[in-house]
Amino acid sequence: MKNLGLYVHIPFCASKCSYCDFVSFCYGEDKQQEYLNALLLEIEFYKNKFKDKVFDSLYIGGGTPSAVFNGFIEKLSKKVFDSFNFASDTEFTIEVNPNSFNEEKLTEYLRARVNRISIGVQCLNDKVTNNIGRVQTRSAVENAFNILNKHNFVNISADIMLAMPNESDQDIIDTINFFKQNNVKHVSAYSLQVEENTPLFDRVQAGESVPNDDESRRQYDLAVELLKKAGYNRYEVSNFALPSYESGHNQKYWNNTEYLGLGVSAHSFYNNFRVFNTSNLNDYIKKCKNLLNLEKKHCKATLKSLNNLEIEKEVANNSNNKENYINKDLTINYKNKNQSKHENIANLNSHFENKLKVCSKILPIGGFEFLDENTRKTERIMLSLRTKSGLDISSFNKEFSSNFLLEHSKAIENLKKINAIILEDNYLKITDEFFYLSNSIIEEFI
Amino acid sequence: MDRLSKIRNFCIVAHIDHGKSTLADRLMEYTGAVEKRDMEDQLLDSMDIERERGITIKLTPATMKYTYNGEEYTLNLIDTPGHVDFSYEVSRSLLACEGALLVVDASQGVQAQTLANVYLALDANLEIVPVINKIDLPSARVDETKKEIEDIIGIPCDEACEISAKTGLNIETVLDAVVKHVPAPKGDENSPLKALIFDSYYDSYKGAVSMVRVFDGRVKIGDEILFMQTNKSFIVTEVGIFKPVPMAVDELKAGDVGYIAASIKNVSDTKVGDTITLKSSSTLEPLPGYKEATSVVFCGIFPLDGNKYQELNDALEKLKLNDASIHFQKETSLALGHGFRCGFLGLLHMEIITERLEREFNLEIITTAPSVEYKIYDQKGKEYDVTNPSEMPPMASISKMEEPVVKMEIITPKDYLGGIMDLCADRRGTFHDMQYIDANRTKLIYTMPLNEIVYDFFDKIKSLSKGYASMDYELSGFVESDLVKLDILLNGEICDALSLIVHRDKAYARGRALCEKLKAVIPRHMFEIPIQAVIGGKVIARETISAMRKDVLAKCYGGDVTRKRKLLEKQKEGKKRMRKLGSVELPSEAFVSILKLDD
Repeated sequence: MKNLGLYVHIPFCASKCSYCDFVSFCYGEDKQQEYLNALLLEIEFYKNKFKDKVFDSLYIGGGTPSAVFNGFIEKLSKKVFDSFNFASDTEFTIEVNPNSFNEEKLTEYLRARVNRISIGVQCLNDKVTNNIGRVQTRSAVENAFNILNKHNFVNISADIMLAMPNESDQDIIDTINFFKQNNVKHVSAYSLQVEENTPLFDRVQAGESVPNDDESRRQYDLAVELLKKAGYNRYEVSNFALPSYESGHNQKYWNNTEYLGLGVSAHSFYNNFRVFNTSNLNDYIKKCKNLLNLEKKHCKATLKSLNNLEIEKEVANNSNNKENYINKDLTINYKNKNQSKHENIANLNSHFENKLKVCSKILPIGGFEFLDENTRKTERIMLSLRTKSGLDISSFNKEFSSNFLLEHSKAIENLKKINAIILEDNYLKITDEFFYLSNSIIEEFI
Repeated sequence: MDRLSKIRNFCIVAHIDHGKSTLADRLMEYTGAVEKRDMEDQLLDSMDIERERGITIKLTPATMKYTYNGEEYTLNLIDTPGHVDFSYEVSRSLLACEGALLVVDASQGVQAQTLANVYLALDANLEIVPVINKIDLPSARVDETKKEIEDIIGIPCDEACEISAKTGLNIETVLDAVVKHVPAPKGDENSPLKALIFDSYYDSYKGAVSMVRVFDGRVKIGDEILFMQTNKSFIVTEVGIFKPVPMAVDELKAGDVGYIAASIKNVSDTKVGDTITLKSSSTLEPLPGYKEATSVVFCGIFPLDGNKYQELNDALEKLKLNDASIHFQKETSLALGHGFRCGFLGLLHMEIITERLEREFNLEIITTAPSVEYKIYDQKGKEYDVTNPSEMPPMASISKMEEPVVKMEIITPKDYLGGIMDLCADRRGTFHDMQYIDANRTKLIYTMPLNEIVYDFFDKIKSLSKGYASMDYELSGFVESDLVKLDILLNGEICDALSLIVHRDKAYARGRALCEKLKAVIPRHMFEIPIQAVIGGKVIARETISAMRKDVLAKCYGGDVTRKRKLLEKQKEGKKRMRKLGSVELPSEAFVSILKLDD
């Protein structure tokens, strides 16, 4: 049984970047305190449900986790470690922004047992970063690294963003050189994405130009080459690491390992279920307060129904039981032999959906999804093809009792013809040249 | 004799939009054929598509009662389609009448189809009753319009009705004029039956129903009737008249307009223009004027989702039940899979049918470029009719090719004359004549290859003239022509659905435009795609779609795998709607692009 990951979302930033479409708000200490209280209640609620599980990674992401008041992270991590079982070699990452990072924060993080820091550098040219609304300066970045190196902090990850308006090749070279010189062990490299409902999107609509796909690819190739020369191995489309510094937490996403997500908009994955929390901060806070009362009278029923859900999931996942599955509380009868398996799964899904609707009146849940076998297959392909090691065909075949190579022989043949994929030791991999076209390739298999 | 003198059979002819259907509505309302509360706009246009586009496609007759000078008259109105595509139907319905109301929009004057239709009416020896419509419009030019009718058509207009069909102004003068000026039908109800089919439709209970004008004799339930062209006989199950909803009557007699149902399975057995008689009197001469409706424009129709072939087949069968002029046969395309090669009366007819397939049958379809029928002769002089470019034999085996040409009449305000003449010249038109209709408007007469007008000629004329010019054409035969087959190669493979037959002089420009257009609509792939336009192995134009360089989604923030998967699934779904030719995915726009090369 693989260990679980735990993700905690901190939805606060000092200011909102023009390109950002993630759940994040610019609120002061009062709201942050309310949110922390809510998080502690949510942890308390899940505590018992996960008491038999072992976690080996904790990731505090955002937003900007370094933008919250001093003491927030320490209180949070104490509650987390008091509530869940963590392995001794747990990787504990926190994302920080250079501008809100300082020595006091670092000492708090160290007390909190943080052992990996992911720092959002993006680019050292302030003109470029400020233009897309990132409030940061090169001197703040340098200062942050001075602090980290002064404390001999080892496991540093840094983000670089490519294809920003007016970002030059020299900017990329400077940034990557800086990483190397400052003992960065892990690099995430992304191209700027213009997402809808962001100020940048409106600017682009109004005529502002951003690098096109060809230019974006060219810069990406440059970054890949520079990172490679600097010793960073590409182990996923966008992730590079010195040997043995791959991100344990991110690999859980790609390897289909279970994880629990806490906080606004956080996603969880366990028992072939994905549940995600509401993106509405006030709704989240209000509902977490309700969790206090959950053990009491009218909420008991809901809780019971949530517990049933866990059992039902187990039953539903066991396909042998599916047809014999009758739930007394509920009026669904899976004995109906006239219904196809597909219809049964659809029924199951809509049944869970109704149930979750009821639950989400009490719990801070925004939605959920039950992953049937097909969906699991799709996700396995989609996630593992993003990684350098690729898709493990024999374990895929075993888990889904299928014959991957036979089922996709046509796609494989076509993709091999254009050198987009290779088959190696029963692993299917996307070639370096085509890594940046992974969507089109993955589509061929789903 | 007394009965016949109280009947008037008439139709309305007009240019499109001049108010024909509105006038028909008003007449029915005035005579009480329909209650006002039941009145829907353009009652006789029963299809949604007719009401929306404001055009009449199917004929629908109506029987009205009108009292004039104390005597009750039966007025049978036959609404006719105004569009050139349906001129054969128009000419059949004219034969069923003794008179025609010529409706002219007072603000627009005489237009191309006014002329075309009035000439058809004159050919049928109809008494023409001029009606000046839309006199309530501020831009109405009543006197000028009358003068135009007198000058151009030669019909006296001193007694012309001046009306507004929209407001109902002076509607009774039209009814009076019908009684006064339209001759009563002649005929003998005691002679053997002779009834002309001017249209037919399919009723799921009654089968194929023939709309008829009875010239001689009588017909009732139980009679054994004979269709003289098809030589098939049936037992009459019902006869009736249109009020305008069908209403059964005991008997139809000479002079009447009505319908005959005889449990006929196929609309194609009730051919427009055919003569119905009694089986017992089959030695009779049929009424003159029967002509098979011929397809003029052809295109391939394919289901967007290849699995919907059978549904498309069923839909076409159903449409054909009501519209015997649609022709279709199976066609298989490398690029588009299984579909149908369909023949239509004209471009509008094609548009209407494709629109009905999408709307009434919820089918998503791909139509290939419209083609015309070419006559191709091989070295031994044997003739082939080719309506599908992909069926064209190799050039080396061809000795001669002919293409259909039309006589084109265009009426335009003189300000736009230059642009329109340039367009006609560009479309290989041969100029014949230019006539001045009045100080401002001119009539142009050209001979033009049909293949040059099936794409977008009408749209062009309209846009060049800001909508003021009108056009009409009729097929005038085949002429020899230097035609070539233009093929498109995508990534080295011929895309049969994009092949075209064009005049050699046009081939280069068309090939280049097509390659450019395809480059714009085909998405980038993981590999480079050459697009080539080829004539008989020789590449005349080339474009290249460069390989896609970036196609990756952002990281899975906070483990939001669902969103990413859904994005991929959505993209994949989008791709399913594309057609695959070899390894190239073609969006359906690629097939439409061929139609709109000038955009």
